Amino acid sequence: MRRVVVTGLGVLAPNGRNVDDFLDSLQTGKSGIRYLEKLKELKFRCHVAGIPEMDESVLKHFFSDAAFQNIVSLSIKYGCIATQEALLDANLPINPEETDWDMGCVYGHCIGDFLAMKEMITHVDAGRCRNMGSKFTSQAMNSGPAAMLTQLFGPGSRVITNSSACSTGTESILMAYELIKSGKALRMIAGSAESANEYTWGGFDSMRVLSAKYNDQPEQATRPLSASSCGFAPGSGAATLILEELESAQARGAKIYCEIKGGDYNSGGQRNGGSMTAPNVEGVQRCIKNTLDDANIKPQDIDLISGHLTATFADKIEVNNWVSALGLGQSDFPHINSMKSMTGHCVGAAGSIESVGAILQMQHSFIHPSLNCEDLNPEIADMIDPECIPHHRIDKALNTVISANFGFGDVNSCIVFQKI
Amino acid sequence: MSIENSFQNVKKLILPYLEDDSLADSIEMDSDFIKDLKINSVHIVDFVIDLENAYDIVVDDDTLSKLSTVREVIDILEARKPVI
Repeated sequence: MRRVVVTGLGVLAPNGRNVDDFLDSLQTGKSGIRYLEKLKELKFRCHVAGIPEMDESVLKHFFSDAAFQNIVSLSIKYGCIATQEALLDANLPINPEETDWDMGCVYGHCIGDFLAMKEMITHVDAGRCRNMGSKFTSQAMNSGPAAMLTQLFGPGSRVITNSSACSTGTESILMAYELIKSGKALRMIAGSAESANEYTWGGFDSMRVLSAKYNDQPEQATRPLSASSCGFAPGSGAATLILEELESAQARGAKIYCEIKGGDYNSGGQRNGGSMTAPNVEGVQRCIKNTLDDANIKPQDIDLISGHLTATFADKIEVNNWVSALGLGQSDFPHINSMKSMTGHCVGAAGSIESVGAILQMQHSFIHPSLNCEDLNPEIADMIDPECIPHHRIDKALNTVISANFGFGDVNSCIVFQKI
Repeated sequence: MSIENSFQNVKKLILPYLEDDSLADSIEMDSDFIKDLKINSVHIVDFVIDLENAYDIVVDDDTLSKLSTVREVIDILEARKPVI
């Protein structure tokens, strides 16, 4: 059986312009959530969000201005920046002359970029359809980021866009992992992106799932695991992992971060409590158990759970699912933290950003603080030892990290990273 | 406006669509958009939209489909000049 390893990382998160910056934020507990006057003007309940600080100039080292002419889609720009960083990190060629037939790409995208769609709608409604040319159609495609990555980096094996709500990012990594395992590719660009715009966030605001009580304290707004959690802060960004078949990576002398030991993605079928917006707990627990089986590890092997933990009422349900699926509790539950306490919920990009964060914690032997949960939800405290939840950075060697995401539509994904 | 002025203006409109920046200095009246300037057919349409907006003209579909060189663009601009 082919083994799959991670050889490159790239990220553009609300609290990190690149991997080094993101690592520093995770180590120091730096939030990327800030106040946005525009959301107040638009009469949102929530006035805070996580938007990456983007430096587009990094792309100009390798590509002409023409490549990015008229690009308005932030998810495309975010994905390109993160992927270029990941390929450079993996010491693979940027902008190659030839198609790389052994490389594929699975790049997730949850909500098509409204910024591109807005351009199209505005032009058509104003009777200016003929003025659009080729500018916006490819950007409005949900596959826009994957299509642009193909133009820039030339993967010639499977090129796929996956879209499974908040489960998208972890699912993209697992799909890429499966393609290498099955021999369809030697290396994969795997990741996901999500645009920053009020249209994506407006629906969530109207559903009353965004944080609205901490508009004057943005860094307090996202409070996973807390008794005072009141919804998530919307986030955005992208992250990319370069996955490679182990022997192929070793043969070219690649730096290896870790192995993807296994994972699973499934659905609860929107039955037995599962719905468009809530998970069937049996589906979640099966996903976690299947992941451990696929990775051939025991619950006791897990050093850290990087939870989905969005800062909604579902946090306590998620913790209960981890407790039940792992068969661990007050005495032996591992550390668990929520990256969304710093980044907000980056929707389709959440899983890939959190996977990069999970690998960085393993690589640098620390557990990042889970912010804003000093007032731990008492129902969660009844299930696990409160000491499992770090309020400050813990320096500790980590051998095995498990990460999960759960999304609208009752979809689940779970992945295990392990040192090699 | 002289032909030279038109050429310089058209050249500016072409520049954003050059995949290879080094080709900027090679734009001539007889440059072929696809063969010489390596501009793909979709971006030729985008260039023509920019041209239409810049000169407030409409390039019909037949003319667009046959457009291959810079000189043909200049010819379109010259043809619209009123005869005094």
